[in-house]
Amino acid sequence: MIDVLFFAVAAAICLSVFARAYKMSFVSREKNQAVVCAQQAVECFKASGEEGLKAVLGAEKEQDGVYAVYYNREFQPVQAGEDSAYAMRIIILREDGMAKARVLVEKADTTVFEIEVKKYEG
Amino acid sequence: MEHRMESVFTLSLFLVFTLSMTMLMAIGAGVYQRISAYSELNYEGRVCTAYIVNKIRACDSADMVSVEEREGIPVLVLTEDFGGTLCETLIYCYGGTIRELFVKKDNPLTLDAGLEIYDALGARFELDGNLLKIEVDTAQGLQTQYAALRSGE
Repeated sequence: MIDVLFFAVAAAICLSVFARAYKMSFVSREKNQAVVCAQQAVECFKASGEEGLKAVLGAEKEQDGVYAVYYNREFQPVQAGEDSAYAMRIIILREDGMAKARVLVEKADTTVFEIEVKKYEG
Repeated sequence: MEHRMESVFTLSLFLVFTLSMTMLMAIGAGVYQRISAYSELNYEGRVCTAYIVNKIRACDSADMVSVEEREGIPVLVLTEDFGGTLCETLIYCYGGTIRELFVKKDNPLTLDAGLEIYDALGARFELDGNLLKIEVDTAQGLQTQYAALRSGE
């Protein structure tokens, strides 16, 4: 009886380790993809501001200074609401000749990755 | 009779343990395989474009980054001035590999002389204002990377 119990506990621990490893791998993959998307947005913003975001990434204007790009589970760009699992929001603020963009890659209510970038506009 | 029952129980317990162990090992191997495949894919998927972007960052001076076509192949040309001598780093895809060739400007060396960097099926570069689009076609799929030229700011 003790043998069975010991084996059951060991098996449960092993399974939970595997499950955790798989989850960590998924989170890491998600973060990697989010970093790549955010990097694309940052480069486009640095090169040509909002116009670059709209022209290159197909970002949609949600409100003044807020642009969004939607992605499906495989991080392929999709239209808003069309099977979108992730949203990248670019929030742009301007002060003292500097344009500051905050890029957030979000999944439901959680932020997967966030980065801030500044661009001198003169 | 009692002894036989004990033997059967022990044997079946051993069988259950063995089966469970095999199952656990199979699950573990599957998880490990998926994690390792993804790590490799992630590495393969980004290393090539990351390398090119880093080369651009190292040579990013005003009007020194351009895209040209040489021998019918799109080539990214990074020009550097070494005390009045202009040198070029050419990055392109030739013969199934991304290659890099560092030469003096107007050197007669042909593209097959480049150093092999990474296996790829093709590479395209598009320079639109300050934004350079790099597309590398690899066995893992098309990798696209944008790089804003800091010298153009």
